[in-house]
Amino acid sequence: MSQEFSEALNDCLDRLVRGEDIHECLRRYPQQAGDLEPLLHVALATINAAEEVRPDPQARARNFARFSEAVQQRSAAPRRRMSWFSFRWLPVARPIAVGLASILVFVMGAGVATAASSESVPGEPLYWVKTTKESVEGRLPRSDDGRATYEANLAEVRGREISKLMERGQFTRADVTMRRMNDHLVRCARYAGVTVAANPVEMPARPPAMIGQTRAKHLVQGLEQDREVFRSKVRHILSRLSPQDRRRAEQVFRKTELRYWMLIHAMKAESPDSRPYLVFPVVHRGPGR
Amino acid sequence: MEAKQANREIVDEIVRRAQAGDQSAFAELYERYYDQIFRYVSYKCGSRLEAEDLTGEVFLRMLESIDKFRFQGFPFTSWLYRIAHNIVVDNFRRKGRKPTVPLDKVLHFSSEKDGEMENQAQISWSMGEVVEAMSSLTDLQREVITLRFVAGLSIAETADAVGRKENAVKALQHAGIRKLRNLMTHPGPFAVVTPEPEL
Repeated sequence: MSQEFSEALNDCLDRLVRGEDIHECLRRYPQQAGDLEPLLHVALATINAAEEVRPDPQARARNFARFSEAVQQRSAAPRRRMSWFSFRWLPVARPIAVGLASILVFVMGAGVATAASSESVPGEPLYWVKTTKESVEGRLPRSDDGRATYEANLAEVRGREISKLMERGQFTRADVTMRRMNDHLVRCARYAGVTVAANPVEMPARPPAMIGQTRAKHLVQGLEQDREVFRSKVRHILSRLSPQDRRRAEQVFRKTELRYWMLIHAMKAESPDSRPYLVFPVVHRGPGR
Repeated sequence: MEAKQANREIVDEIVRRAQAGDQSAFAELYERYYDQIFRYVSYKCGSRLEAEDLTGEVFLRMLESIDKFRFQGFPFTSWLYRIAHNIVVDNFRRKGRKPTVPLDKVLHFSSEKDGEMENQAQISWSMGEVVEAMSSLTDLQREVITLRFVAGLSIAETADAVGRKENAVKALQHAGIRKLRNLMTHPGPFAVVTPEPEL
């Protein structure tokens, strides 16, 4: 079917629907009249047949009475105001509401999980939430000063975990956690401008240069305080352990003590001459070795 | 084209009044569309009584849903025919039969129309032929032909009512008409007798 014929057919059909005479239509398209005519007659027959179908006046009136009654009932009923929750907004509001609810549930769930995980220790189901949170927080932009404080805080958290693990007799986990604590303290020192090394020949400690003295003083005070808390807790735990467990616990404790000691003394040192390298005898040998 | 646009503006205004709760606007819509809808439903279901009930139902459904109608390029007429189509389809589904029209039913309800027996027979006969021939079209062709020639909708309105593009509707209409032509001319007794054009 050519485009021209198609257009002619549609035009003629529109005219027929509007009541125009078939021959008038054909006169408009003399070139296509031969092909159009049979089709238009079919359309006309259909239109004419349809026009003969008329509703029964009684049924029409009956339906109208029913309709009018429904219209009156509708008018009598209080009209609902179009609220944000009305059907008009449903296509848009529903997905948004579902999305927001999902986000809310997720955020609340994450909040509850994070809160519940704050006191967890290695080996517990929610511990990964705690470490993930720390990892995310660790990526937040901070000054070196802030990072040093943050790492000192994490060291304190690890310290609490160690004491809990020791209390439970989980010394292997406590040892692993102690290494993590040491990492935090080393990082704390690095951000504070102090290089703390187990081997002073390789890498001597140097006094704080990157953060201010006042800030360094505060940091040192915080570290000393954390160390004291850690010490008192561990001593209390040690007193309740069996001799064998106590030996293992002391090993962990002494390593941790060493890191605190090194860091605190390095930060306190005012000149290279007063740098503390007095670490080795205490560190690597626990009692009983 | 302008007349069609003007008509649409008039209908839109009536619909706006109806949405605002004007009872007379509902009466106007009923008067304007009842016969068309009845014709459309009759062609689809083939029973006068059923067509009357279903047409009444179409208007009640329209009343329930008129607040949902939005003036976003979609004509009210197409929207109303969609309601009618859905009601007819629901009815077929409820009764578990296909939307085809038995010839005897068409003949029956046409013969009830008035008292002129001779004329009735001729009208019924040609209508029966049309309906029977239409039952051999595809569903979509039949829908397009019914909306175009029974309900008198434009191509654009038909396209909106069936949810197709205008070109697709034109193609369906053309294919449907050709098929009807073949069915109505070749099977013999139902041939359409056409007068010679006065060219």
